[in-house]
Amino acid sequence: MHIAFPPLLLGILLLAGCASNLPPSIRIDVGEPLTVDQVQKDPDGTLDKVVRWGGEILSVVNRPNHSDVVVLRRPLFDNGEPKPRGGEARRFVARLPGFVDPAEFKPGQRLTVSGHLDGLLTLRVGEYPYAHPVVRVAEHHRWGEYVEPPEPPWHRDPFYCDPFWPWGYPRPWPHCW
Amino acid sequence: MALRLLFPLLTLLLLSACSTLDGPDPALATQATPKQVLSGHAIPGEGESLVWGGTVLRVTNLRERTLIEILSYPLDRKRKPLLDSPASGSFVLEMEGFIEPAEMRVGLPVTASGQYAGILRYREGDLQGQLPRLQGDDLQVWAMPPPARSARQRPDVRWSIGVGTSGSGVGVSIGL
Repeated sequence: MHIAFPPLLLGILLLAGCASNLPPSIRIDVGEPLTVDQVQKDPDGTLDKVVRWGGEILSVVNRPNHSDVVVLRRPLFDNGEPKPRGGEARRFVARLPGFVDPAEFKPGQRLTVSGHLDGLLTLRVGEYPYAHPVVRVAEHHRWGEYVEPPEPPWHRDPFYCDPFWPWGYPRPWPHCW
Repeated sequence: MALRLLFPLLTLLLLSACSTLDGPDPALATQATPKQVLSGHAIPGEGESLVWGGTVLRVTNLRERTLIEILSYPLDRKRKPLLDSPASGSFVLEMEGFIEPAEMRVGLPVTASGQYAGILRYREGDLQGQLPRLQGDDLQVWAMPPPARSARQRPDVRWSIGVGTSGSGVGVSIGL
């Protein structure tokens, strides 16, 4: 009985350590695994479903009572942070209550939202009528600039595998260590 | 023993150095470049198959198709634009359907295959011009090239010195 608890406690402590300032529904995926494509095809069937979506901010449209943030959807890391590229790269609208300052929600910034799906909103991209799924945002988080994890030096140093070293040593070429 | 091993190694290294000198694909050398089309030096027949590539200049989404203006470059054997070569004019690629402009940033290298579809004349305010048009079947997107190195950065050359023994022999080598 006593032995069963420490791992559990440790787990809770570790989770609490992750808490930081991220809203819980951003940190943990509570939503359904829906894609923009699926919602575009079945807006009624997906109405009010919960999603956690994120990606790159493209633009902000301020309306009288709310603000629509147009986001290019990207896959998320486990902590809810959008990856810088890849995924379906389709657009959705994150609908936030009240006023959102376009000077703060800048194009290129990464945003993750959680909330309920609320049908489609057609906005023009050029002349193309693009049906954006709308997420009524419950919680959201804006991320800082993505920093590529540094490449370990042996990935780019050609002499990590030195073809000259050592001469005639009875080992297959190249000699890597 | 040491010498016997050294010769094939040197050959391999010399050969690998050659791979960076890969030039334009000779199979595509006969087709007209956008520059030649506009200047009237070589005019492809309407519907003639072409493979053109380069970097994205601008994307225009229309109701049912997408126009992508591309700065043309020669293509290598993998049909990848050779961005270190001089540009060979620009052209308009016309693709069916919607292409996400946020995924087609300025400077992105792309290669398109399709059919020559005449000259597109455009007018924007006081500006007017004409560009060869390619009706695209297939669009390949390449990785964005890394930002240009500033001249102050040190060149990417590494020295390596090795000393080794083999039986009775001792060897010293310098790698660059």
